[in-house]
Amino acid sequence: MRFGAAISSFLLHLCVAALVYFGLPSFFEPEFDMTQSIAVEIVTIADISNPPPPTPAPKPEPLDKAEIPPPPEPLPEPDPVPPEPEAVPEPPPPAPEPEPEPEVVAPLPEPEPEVIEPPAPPLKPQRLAALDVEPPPTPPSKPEPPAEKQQFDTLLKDLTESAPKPRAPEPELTQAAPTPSTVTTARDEPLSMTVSDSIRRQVEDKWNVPAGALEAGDLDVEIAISLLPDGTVRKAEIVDQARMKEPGEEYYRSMAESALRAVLQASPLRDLPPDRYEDWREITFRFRPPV
Amino acid sequence: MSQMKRLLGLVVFASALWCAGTMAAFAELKIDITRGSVEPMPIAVSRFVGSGAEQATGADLARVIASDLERSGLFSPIDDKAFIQRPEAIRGAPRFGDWRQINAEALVSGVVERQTDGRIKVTFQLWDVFAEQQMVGLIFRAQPSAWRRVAHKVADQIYKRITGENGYFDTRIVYISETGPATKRIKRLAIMDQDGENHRFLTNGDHLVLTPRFSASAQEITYLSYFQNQPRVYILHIDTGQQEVVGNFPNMTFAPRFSPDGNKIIMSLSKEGNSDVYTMDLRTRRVKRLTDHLAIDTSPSFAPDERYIAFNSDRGGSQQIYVMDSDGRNVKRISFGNGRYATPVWSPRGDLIAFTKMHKGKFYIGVMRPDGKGERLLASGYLVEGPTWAPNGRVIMFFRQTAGGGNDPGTVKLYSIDLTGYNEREIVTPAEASDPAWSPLIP
Repeated sequence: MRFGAAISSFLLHLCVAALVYFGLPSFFEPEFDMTQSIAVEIVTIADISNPPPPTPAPKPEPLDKAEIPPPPEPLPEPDPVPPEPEAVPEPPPPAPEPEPEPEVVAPLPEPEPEVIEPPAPPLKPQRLAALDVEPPPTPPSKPEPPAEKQQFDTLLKDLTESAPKPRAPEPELTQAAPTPSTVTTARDEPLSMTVSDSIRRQVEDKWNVPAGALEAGDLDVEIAISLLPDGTVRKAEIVDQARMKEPGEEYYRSMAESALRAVLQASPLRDLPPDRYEDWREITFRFRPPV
Repeated sequence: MSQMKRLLGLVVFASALWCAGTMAAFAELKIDITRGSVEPMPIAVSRFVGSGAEQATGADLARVIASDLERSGLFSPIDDKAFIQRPEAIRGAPRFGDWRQINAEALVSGVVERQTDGRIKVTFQLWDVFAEQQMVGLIFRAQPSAWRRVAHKVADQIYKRITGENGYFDTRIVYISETGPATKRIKRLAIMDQDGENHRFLTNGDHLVLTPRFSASAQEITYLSYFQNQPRVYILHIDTGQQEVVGNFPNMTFAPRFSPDGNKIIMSLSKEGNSDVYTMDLRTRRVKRLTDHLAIDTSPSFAPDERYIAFNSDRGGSQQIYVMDSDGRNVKRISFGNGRYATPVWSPRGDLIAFTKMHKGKFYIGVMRPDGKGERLLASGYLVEGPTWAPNGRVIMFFRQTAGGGNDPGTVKLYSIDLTGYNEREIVTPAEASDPAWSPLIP
C-alpha cells in the first residue's frame, strides 16, 4: 500500500514538475502557416526593387458578410422620427418681395466644395542613380501617412490670416508622449513592447478627434475588440453603451464614435506575431482625449 | 478501489490545473490611446434622388448641405465625381464597401418627392460608413420655395449628430452694406442667409443706419438710424417690413440690443454729457437706468440667462470690460490684459464673452470667460471689430477693415472664424460690409 502511494505521489510530482517546465498544454492551437510579415513603411525606391504590395486578401470576405444583414434595419427608422422637423419648414419668407427698396443684387458666387484628393495616392517611384538598392526591409526614411496628414493641417491653417493663436489642442496632440503599456500573460513573458506600441501607433494614426468635445471634460472611451489571426477586427464595440444613450452626453457619443471609427479604419492591424495570437486576440483600448 | 479513487483524483486535479491554465492564457491586452489628430471629417453627400422637377432640387439640396458642412471647417465633402455607388442605387441600403473605398467616414443620402398638396417631402439618412449603421434618419416637409431652409436644417442635423453641438446653418446675418467713397459713404441695412444667399436690402441708404441686432425670435431687428439728424432706435419686422420707432432719444444712443427673452432693449444713453447703460421695457416703454457713474459706460450685452450684463466702461482709467448683475449692482472689472477692450458680446452658450481689443496700434478679436480668465485672441488686423456669435456659440463673425494707402481708402468686409482660432473665412457680400449680427436658429 505504501509503495503504491509513494508511486502515485511521485508521479503526481512528476506531472507538476513537467507542467512547470513545459507550460500548460493548449488543445486549441489555431493551425495556420503564416510567414512573418515584413514591416514596410517606406516610400518606394524603384519599381524593380519594390516588394509586391501586401495582399489585402482577407478583406473582401467580411464585406460580403456585412452586406446582407443591415438592409432591413435602417429603412423603418425614418418614419417614426420627425416630431418637430415636420412642423418646421413652413416659414413666412415666400412673400416678402413687395418691398419698396429691393434693388436686385448680382448673383453671389457660390462657395464651391473643395476637392480633396483621396488620402491614398499611389506611391511615387523615385529612380535612384544606382539601382543596386538593398532589398526592402531597410529602415524607413519617412513613413507615408504623416505626409498626408500634413496636407490637412496646411489646408486649415492657410485660411487664417491672424498671427498669434495660442490654440492649445493641436500642438499638444502631436507632442504628447505615449504612455507605455506593459502586459504580462500567463507565461510570465511580457508581450513585446514593440508589438503593443505598433498597435497603438496604427490606431493613433487613424484617430480623428472631434475638436469641440475636447473642452467637455471626462471623456475617456473604452473600445473592446477581438481580432482574427490575420489582424482583421472581427468585432468592435463601445464598452459603455449606457452612456451612449443618455441625453446630454452628446460629446461622449461623438468621442466614442470617433474612437470606434479609428479602430475600424486601422483594421487589419499589421505586425502582429502569429505565434502569440492568444495574447493579442482580445484588446481593450482606452481612448483618452488629450486636454 | 482506493487506488482507482486516487487515480481519479489525479486526473481531476490535473484537468483542473489545465483548465485554469487555459483561462489565464486569454489575458486581455489593454492599450491606452492618447494621441490623435484634429482634421475635417471626410463625408460623402450624395445627390438626393428625385424625379421630374425634383431632380434639380435634389442636386441643389446636396450642394447646399455639402457647402454648409465644408464651410464649418469640420468636414471635407468628397467630390461626387469620386463616388462609386450611384445615388439611385443606394435606396436605403448603401453598399458600404464602395464608400469605404473612397475613404468617406460618413454618407448622406436622401430622396425628394412632391406630395399631392404641392409640398415637397425630403427624406434624408446619415450613415456611419465604417460601423455600417444609420446614424440619423428624418423627414422634412415644406413648400418647394423653402428648399434652402430644408437643406440648412439637414446640415444642422448632420452637424449636431456628429460633433455633439447644435448647428448654426439655418440662420441669417444682418449687416450694414457700405458703398461709395469715404467722404460720401452710403450705408444700407441688408440681410442674407448665413451662406450669403437670399440677399436683400432693408433700407435704401437715405439715412445713416448703424449697429443692427436680432431679437431672440429672429423675426425682428433693432438698429440705430438718424432721422432728420436725430438718432433713433428702430425695430424692424423682417417679414412684414414694418418699422416702428422705439424711442426718440435726443441724446446719442449706442448699440441697442434685445434681451434674450425679447422683452427689453438694453442700450446706452448720454444724459447731461454722461453715457450710461439703460434698459427699456418694450411693453411698457419705461426706461430704467442701470449704471450711474461719471465714466463712459456703453456697449452693454446680456448673458443668455439674463442674470448678468457685460459692458464697456472707462471708469478704471481706460476702456475695459465690466460685468454687473442685471439690476446694476456688483460691478466687477474682468479684463486685465495690456491694451483697451471694447464691444463685449456674451456667447449664447453663456461660457464666453467675445470682445475687441486694441493694443499697440493693432486690433484683435478675442474671447474670455465671464470671470476674465482664459483670454484668447482669435483674429487681428488694422481694424477688426464688432464680434457677433453664431447661435451655437462656436463661430464668431466680425468685420475687418484694411489699411489702404494713398488714394485707396481700404476695404471693409465680413469674416467668420471658428472658436478654435482656425478656419477664418471671408463672407461674400455684394458690396463692402460691416457691423454684422447673427440671428438665432430660425424656428
